[in-house]
Amino acid sequence: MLSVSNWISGTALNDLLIAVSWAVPLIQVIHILSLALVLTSAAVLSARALGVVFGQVDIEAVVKRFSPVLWGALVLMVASGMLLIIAEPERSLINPVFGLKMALLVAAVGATLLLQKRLNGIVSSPDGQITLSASLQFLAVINLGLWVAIASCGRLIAYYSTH
Amino acid sequence: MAFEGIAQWLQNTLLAQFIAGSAWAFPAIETVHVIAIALVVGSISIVDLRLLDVSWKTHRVTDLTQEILPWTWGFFIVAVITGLLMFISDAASYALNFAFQIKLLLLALAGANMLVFHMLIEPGIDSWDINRSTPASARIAAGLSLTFWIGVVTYGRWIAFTTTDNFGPL
Repeated sequence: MLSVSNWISGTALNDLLIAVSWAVPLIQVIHILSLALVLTSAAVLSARALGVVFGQVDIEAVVKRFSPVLWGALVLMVASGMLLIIAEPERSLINPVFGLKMALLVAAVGATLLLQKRLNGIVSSPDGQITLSASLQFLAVINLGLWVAIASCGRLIAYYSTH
Repeated sequence: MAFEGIAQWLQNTLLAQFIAGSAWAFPAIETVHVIAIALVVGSISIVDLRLLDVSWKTHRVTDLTQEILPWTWGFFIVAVITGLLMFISDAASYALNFAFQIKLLLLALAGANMLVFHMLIEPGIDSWDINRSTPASARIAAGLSLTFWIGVVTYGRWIAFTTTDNFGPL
């Protein structure tokens, strides 16, 4: 990872992102705004599965509305995150908190895909009342917990820099 | 002058001293602050995008506001409390930080915009709650709301890049 970090430090894009003083803060802002959409969408999906919000709205309609926002914003979050790595490779690549964040990201993507799949398979009864299984409710809690943990790691990367 | 005195007094309180002196308190508070503000902006954008007729036109505006805004307020209270805790840890520096001052101004504008919406625009909501285009006044309020909140996030992040004092990682 150190050699990768050193290689990135020598690229022209790295030079540019460092030379432009407002580039890193601006990309961080974009990263946080995309986090806002990812986290909120994940929270709505989980909270709907638990029956906490949008109780009157079909689960299918909630998934259809919020899943595309989650995945679209995640693409923006990963893209802006990559630029931040290129700008300051040693801040993240050799940072254990960043490693943990990436592991959590893989788990969160898996949990969200699974939650989406299981929610789409639910058919509401005519009166709209459904009680979801304990395993699905557990998945919903885990899903939200993973995204919150990813956001936490994101901020804490700054404090555990090894350089 | 009086303000400097207040700032000094704040950062001399036991709580402020603890936050400033602890290795983990500030990062922990800041983490909660970022998550809270992300959820404030994300949840309010659900309502604003509906008011802009961009999304969920099949749902009543009032259903969305009743469902979402109590959560937004809850997250906002968490963001304010954590924000105050960070502020007191180094009050005199933050008070003079240009990005911080702009952030407070944008928060005030977001609040004023919300008051205008509630007092002048929302009373007529029955005629456009659903199945009708939202009026220009509601769209303007929603556009301003999104703009102000994106500004709050932007200048919030910029605080760390503007100060020369010893807070934060940057």
